[in-house]
Amino acid sequence: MENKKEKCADMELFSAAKYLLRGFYGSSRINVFLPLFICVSATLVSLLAMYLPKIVLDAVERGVTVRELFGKVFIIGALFAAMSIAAMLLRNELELISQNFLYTELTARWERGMLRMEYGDFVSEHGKLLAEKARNAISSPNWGAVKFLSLLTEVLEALAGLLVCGGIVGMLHPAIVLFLLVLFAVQLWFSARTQRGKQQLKKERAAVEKRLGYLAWGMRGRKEGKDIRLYSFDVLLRNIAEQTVKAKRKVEGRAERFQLYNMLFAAFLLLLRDGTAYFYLIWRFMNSGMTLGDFTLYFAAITGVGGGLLQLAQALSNFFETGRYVGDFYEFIQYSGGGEKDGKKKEGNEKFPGLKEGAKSNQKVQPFVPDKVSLCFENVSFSYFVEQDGVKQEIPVIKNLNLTILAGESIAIVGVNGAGKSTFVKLLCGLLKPSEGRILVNGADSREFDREDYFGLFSAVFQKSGFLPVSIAENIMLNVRRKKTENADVEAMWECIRSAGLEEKVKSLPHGVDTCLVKRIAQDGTELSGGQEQKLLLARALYKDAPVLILDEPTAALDAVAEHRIYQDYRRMTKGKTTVFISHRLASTRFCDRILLFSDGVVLESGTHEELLARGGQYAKMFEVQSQYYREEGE
Amino acid sequence: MRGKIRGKGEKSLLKGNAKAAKTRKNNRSISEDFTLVCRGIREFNKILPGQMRHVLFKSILSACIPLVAVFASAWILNELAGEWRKERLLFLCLFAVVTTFVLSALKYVQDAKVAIGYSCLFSAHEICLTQKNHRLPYEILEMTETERLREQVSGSISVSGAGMASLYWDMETVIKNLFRMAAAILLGAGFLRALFTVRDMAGQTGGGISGGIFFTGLVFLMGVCIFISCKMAGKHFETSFEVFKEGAKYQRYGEFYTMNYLKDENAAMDARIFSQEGIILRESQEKCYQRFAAGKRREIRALDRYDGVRLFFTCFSGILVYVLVGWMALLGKIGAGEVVAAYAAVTMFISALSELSEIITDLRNNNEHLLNFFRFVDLPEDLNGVGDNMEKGNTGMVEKEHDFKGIQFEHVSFRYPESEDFALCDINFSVRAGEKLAFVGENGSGKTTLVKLICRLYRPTQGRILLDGVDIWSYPHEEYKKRLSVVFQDFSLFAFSIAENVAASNTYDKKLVEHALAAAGLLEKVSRLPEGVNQPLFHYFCEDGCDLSGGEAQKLAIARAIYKDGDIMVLDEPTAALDPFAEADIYKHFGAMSEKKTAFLVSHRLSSCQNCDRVAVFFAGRLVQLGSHKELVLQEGKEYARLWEAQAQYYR
Repeated sequence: MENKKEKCADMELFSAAKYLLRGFYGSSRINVFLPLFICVSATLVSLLAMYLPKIVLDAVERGVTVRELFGKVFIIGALFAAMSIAAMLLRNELELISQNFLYTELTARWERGMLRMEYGDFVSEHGKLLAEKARNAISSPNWGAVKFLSLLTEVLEALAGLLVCGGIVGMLHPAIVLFLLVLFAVQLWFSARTQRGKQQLKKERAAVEKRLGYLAWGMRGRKEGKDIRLYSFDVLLRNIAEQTVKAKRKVEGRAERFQLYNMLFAAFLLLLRDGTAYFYLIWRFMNSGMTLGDFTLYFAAITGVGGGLLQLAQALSNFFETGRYVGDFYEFIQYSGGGEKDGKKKEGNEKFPGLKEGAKSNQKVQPFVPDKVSLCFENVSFSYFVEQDGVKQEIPVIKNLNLTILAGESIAIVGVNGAGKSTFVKLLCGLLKPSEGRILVNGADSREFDREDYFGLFSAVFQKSGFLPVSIAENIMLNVRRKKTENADVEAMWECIRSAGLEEKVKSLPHGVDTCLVKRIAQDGTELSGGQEQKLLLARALYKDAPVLILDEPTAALDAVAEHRIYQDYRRMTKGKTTVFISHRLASTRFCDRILLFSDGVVLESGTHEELLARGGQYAKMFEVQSQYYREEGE
Repeated sequence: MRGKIRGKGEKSLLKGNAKAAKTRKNNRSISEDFTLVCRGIREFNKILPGQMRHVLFKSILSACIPLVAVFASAWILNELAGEWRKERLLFLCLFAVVTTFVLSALKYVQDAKVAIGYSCLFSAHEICLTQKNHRLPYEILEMTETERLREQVSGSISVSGAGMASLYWDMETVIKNLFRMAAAILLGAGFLRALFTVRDMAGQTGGGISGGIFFTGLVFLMGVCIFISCKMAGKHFETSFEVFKEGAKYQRYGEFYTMNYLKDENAAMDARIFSQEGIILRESQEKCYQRFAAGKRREIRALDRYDGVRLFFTCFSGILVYVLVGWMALLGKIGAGEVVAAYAAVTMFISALSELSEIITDLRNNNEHLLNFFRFVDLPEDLNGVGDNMEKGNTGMVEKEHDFKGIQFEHVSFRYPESEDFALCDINFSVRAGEKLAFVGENGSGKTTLVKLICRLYRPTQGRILLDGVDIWSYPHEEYKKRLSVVFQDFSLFAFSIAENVAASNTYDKKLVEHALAAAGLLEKVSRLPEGVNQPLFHYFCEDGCDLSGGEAQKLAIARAIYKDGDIMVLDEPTAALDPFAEADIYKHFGAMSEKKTAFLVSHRLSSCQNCDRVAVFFAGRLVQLGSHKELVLQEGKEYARLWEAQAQYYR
């Protein structure tokens, strides 16, 4: 992993550029020539623009007839107009392709990367940073990695312009070309130095940007609104925002200073160049036969070379800056496996990957999903690392866990907050990989499973899940397209809605099961209450009908009656499935065959409700604490 | 009748109106647009004070720099064509290069300042909006309309770089081109002067009368070309703007995934377990990016058309200029310097005028974005409800109606602004000061709504709530707020230090903070952190900030309520996310925490009701039962007994 990253840093720009261009080439073969066409037409435009005044001045000096003057000017002028228009049209075309292809496609790739990267990477600081950088690189169609091709074209254009002007100047005296090149080399050297200085600030800039992002975008919603109002957090927030903007100004100021040095140096070189050009040309004019037309042409050519060099330097620096964004993006794609893993598959459906893959997963022959699944943890440990003062610290969450869950068994997991329950569940369903040990599914090592197949074994209701801004039906059935749904699917969906106790609510909605969720996004969408959301999550989990069902506090947001009803249905809903049920409500654990009490990353107690009560351990204590009030009354 | 007369009047004014309609855009006259831009600049100055100044300097400088070179080379050419005075040539060369250098250096300094402003603009803009969010009355904040508006305003700048960002860039272009136009006229002065005197001579030497007419014709044609090419500039903005307006509809789908869903740790679990890749990619492509692509295509095609025409006429007018100046030079009316200068002047004039007309179109369209911005910042901020008091002739003084100590609900009904049904209906009861009351009921029965009313986040639609005999909306906002200590169900913590989270301020009494943490049962954990109470939360501000578990976060929120020490305590589902020990722990502290305070507790766990003096049972927005736990549990067949039975059975 480390090795890969280093390599990536070295080859960053090159391989990243290759990555982009390959995609671009794939989208349409002719696209690759577009930058070349632009170059040719743009160069002709600048060449003609230089010759036009020479023609006029020469004609005047020679005293030609008005008719002759008209003829010459019109021919050159018409060519000039045609080339200008051609260059403009080609540039627009490139822009269109860049935006439509690059922006759209890169966003899709980023999305795919976010969905495919290992969950452990996803939640890691490093993973988040890479994802954020990549997102930043493609966040706008007018900026960042999307501009890569336009900027590449600019570099080529500047080079071509230079060649033409250099040729004209070379006719005057080759030494001048050399002189201009030396100036350029000096400038390039200087520019590289300042760029390096700017790069060193990158980390600092990112840190400030993160803070600003939090202040600007992190709390725009309603959720914080209540606490901000009641505790007058606004003053504190304003103070911190002011400080942070100030810090941002400061660090940006430092970065801009490098740019400023660069530009000032360039202006100084310009002074040298133009001064020399004027003196030399005047000297030549006075001493050898040169027309006024030549004088303007050569002067324009010298300025053209100088300007071209500046343009080239600027284009290169923009290009490299964008190249870094492309690099950021590429690094993420590699890290997330979004580009490499089954990369072949992606080449095929470049344009609208979502569409084709979505469609494909419908037609795909369902992988063999066993009816019954047993799970076995063998010496499983899991720890995560935190870096404190540069020292990596290992924090164990699950310690050497050995556990077998039989097929069709229903397991309850209890324990205090932070005992490792959630981590256990994430390990179980393959979101996290054990640091040590292994997990066996029906006797086979979980690592040997295809990722999708493995996830296919599980269905879950997690705490704090959200919905997509699509219809309720699609939220439940997900990849099944509504139009193509068969009656059996719809029937199954309604059955799940019924089981979850949401039928009445769904039927009362204006568009029933086709009502969209997430009101702030979907037009005429609806918003469900916390309890209803939890029921819908349950319906979705039931619809998936996977052999293992995981329920993480599925009733926390439900009222007593709704909770009671779900418990009543629990047996029926989980029939034949292996179930893992996490709850703080010990009442609910009674329905399970076995209760596991987690404490500090190990299973402290295991057995049925009655057994554990009889044992008088932590579980019994917990039950006592929770039930005391009820029992006082009950008895 | 009146309408008819007006209609007639309008008809007779048709001609005038047609002309007026031409200058109107998006239903605004040019002066209205101008006023909006001025306000925009004022608002901009609030976001980034002093930044516009640099834009002004920068644009003046960048207009002047090319002028120097053109002037100098024209003079040099004239000198070369004429007398060859050495010291004058030397002076002109030095003048050209040194002046250019100095002006460029000055401009680069301003460039840097402008760039700094630009890199801060997006976040500063967003922070400004977020702060506005914090000042809005809560009921306005919670409206979907407000959220949409906010998203539109943010989208204007973040997605299309419009709104304040456009203003920033456009101002630069406007000022620069005004100066360039002036410069072009200055530069072309010699050519213009010659133009007026040369017509007759052209007639004499160019072939009689027809030569004179021909010359005049060329001048006229040149004028027409300049006019058309400037007219074409900015036309494509119309299409861009239409496309943009469409964009608001689909952009938010894309942003939902890129900004929220795909970054969310919880959503990431669902996305994997339920293989949502297919649907997410499909949705974001279909609902956002394909439509984006179609819009982009339309925009570029419009650009192709208009810019094609524009370029054609620009080039053609350039040709005409050369023909004209060449002719005049042939007549000996102008020198070689003027030939170059005239061409430069005309091209500069055309490009300045087209850029200006382009930018004015853009600015006028941009006003639509600015209007959204203004609409958002103009949302009312009246937190005190003073408006109402004024109407009643109340001067804000608190008037006591009677001496009851505690809280009374008098016929309180409430309906959410965007809803048709009443969430609460005719609630009547009172709570003595120091009494502890539990709210129970099914989901959606109105408990949390009542909490919001007590917190003065919403104003009752009917009826009122009295605290110590005074309508809570009659208290000055700050004063009332001070008396509340609330833990919301969906409380939020901020990425600042633990102490700042507890004290809601960066000035705090460390002893009190520690005391509050101890009372909430979190001090032990906090003191184990490397920086104790100064440890930041999360990782936004500090790489090694700490993450709290659900229970710890809950305790921190409780510590915040304790620190605030208001005499009314409200706990909305404080233990939903906690394990039994933590839950028991919190209820153990509940008595001590709420000692001598009026306390409201919302809970699904009926066991917790026994910690309270009385229980208020809600059903479908109505208060159906009120009494102590012991009384209520005996009222068989009623709501409370039903709820109790549902839970208690498992513990027997």
